[in-house]
Amino acid sequence: MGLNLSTHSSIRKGVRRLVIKVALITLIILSVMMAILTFIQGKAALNNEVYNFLLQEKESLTSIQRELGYEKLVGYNYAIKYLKSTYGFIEIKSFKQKKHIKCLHEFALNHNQYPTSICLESPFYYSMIIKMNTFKGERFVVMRKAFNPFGGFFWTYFLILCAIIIVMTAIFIFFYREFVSITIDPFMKLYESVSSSKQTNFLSPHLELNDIFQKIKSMQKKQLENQEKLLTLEQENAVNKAIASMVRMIVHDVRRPFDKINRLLERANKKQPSELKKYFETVSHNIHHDTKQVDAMLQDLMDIGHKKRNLNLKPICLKSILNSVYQEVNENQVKFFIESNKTTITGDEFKLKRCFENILSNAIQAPGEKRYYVEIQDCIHENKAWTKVVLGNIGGSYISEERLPKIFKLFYTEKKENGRGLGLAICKKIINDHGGKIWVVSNGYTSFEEKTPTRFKEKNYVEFHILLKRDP
Amino acid sequence: MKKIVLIEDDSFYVQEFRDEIKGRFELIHFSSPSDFVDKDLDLNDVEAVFLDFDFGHVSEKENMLAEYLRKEKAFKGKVVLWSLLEEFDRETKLYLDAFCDDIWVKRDLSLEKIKKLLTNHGD
Repeated sequence: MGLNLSTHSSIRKGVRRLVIKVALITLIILSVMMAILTFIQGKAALNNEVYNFLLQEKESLTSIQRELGYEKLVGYNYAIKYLKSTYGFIEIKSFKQKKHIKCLHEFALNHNQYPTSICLESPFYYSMIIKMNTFKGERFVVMRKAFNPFGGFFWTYFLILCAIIIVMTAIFIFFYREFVSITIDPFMKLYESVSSSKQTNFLSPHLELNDIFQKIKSMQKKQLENQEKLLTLEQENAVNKAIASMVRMIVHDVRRPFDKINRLLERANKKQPSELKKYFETVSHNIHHDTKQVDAMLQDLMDIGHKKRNLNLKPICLKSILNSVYQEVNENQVKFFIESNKTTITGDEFKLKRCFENILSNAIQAPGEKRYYVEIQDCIHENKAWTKVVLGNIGGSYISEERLPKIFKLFYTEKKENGRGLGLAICKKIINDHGGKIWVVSNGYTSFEEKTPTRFKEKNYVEFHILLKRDP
Repeated sequence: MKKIVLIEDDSFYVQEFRDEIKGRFELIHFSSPSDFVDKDLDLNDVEAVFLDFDFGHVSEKENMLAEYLRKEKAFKGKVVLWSLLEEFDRETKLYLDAFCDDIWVKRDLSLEKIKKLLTNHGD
């Protein structure tokens, strides 16, 4: 354990040294860049301002030069010496602008002549040009170009640089702490736990880190595998739950008629023959209804179980099938709209009838006073001839936008009576087996990918749209 | 005469229940939980509520009815769930244990059992 702690400490120190080195190198690079920038700016200022002035004054300078009798412009020292000998000019000891002006002012007071002067400063260079006219009409030019370590701009840049260095240092310190505490420390803890469990001697921090990363990688891989396993288990669990729910539902529905028959037989032993007949008449319809439901449910399960198309195809008249289906509802309540030249298609009569029955049964069970309508029309879809059947009802309930995508899913139901969640799933299977399409539209929303305009604005409506190929 | 509320949608079982308690208890029947809630019956003199529970067909409203009786209506009598099945999943069982007094299988319905249930109630 002691070895691990010392190794931890050495890695920490190594990381700290690395961070400090990076910080210092960055600071040096930044400082150099700032100095270069400053120099370029100062040079540019000098070049632009001083020498432009000199160029402008070229002619006057040349004439001065000629008057003085020198081949070159006078140097600073010579000019000062000349001024002193001639006018008692006080040497400018400092290049500070104020002092310079003071000197010139004194000179002007002494000689009753005020010189024109230009004084330019840059961070690194100080330039002064004095042009003056004296009583005697003599003109002098004094030029000085010298390094100016105390230029105002220099201090400004220096202060800015200091501020930047302080801020950068603070940021580095902050990030270093964050980096170590958030990024490095967990690794260290992980490393400690791994190394303490295996008691492995490591040769160097690099190898140790590599080992840690390998372990993390391996852990990530295992975690991914576990996640996949968990997902599979969840899916299996959902399937098992659905199967368990379906089994309970089947047992419940199958048990009901048997339970009733048992009770009927128990009663039969207790009742008088005259009472028995009346009792039997009362309950027989109920039991018959239950057995029919069980039969329908078993048929649904058989249909869902068939994966392959098992169609008995023959020419069928849609109108006559729909008429027989809608006999369950009062005929006055059903309106037929037929806009088709040919309502005969090739299909499985039994299965299509079962599909339409399921849809109607679904509509009848929904609450509300409804009017039913059926539309049959020709249409072209994807360059193929289709017959479109719309089974609708208006004035009852509607299917919300959230429920629409679930409506054809297996075992999806919101109803108690006969609500096994099989009927519409079977409808979809039957239509798909015919190579057709089915979707539902309610109050302007649809389960199909296409949008549809709201058909009836004043009332709730539900429409099942079915596309059937003429020749599947 | 003691009153019993039955919430059951199957006419066969309603008749069975009626036949069993004929002359001994007064039966108040509702065909659905919504019907029962909408009528807002005064439950002060009701001894027991029998609630049909159909597996696989249970809506949220039905599931919540026992809770509604205890919490909203402050019903102090017996709440009995009766079903064709006697096995429940864990979630349903927890709910039933919290709000129902007993679970009956429909085939076990008898006057003796009802009397026993109501004799224990408040005695």
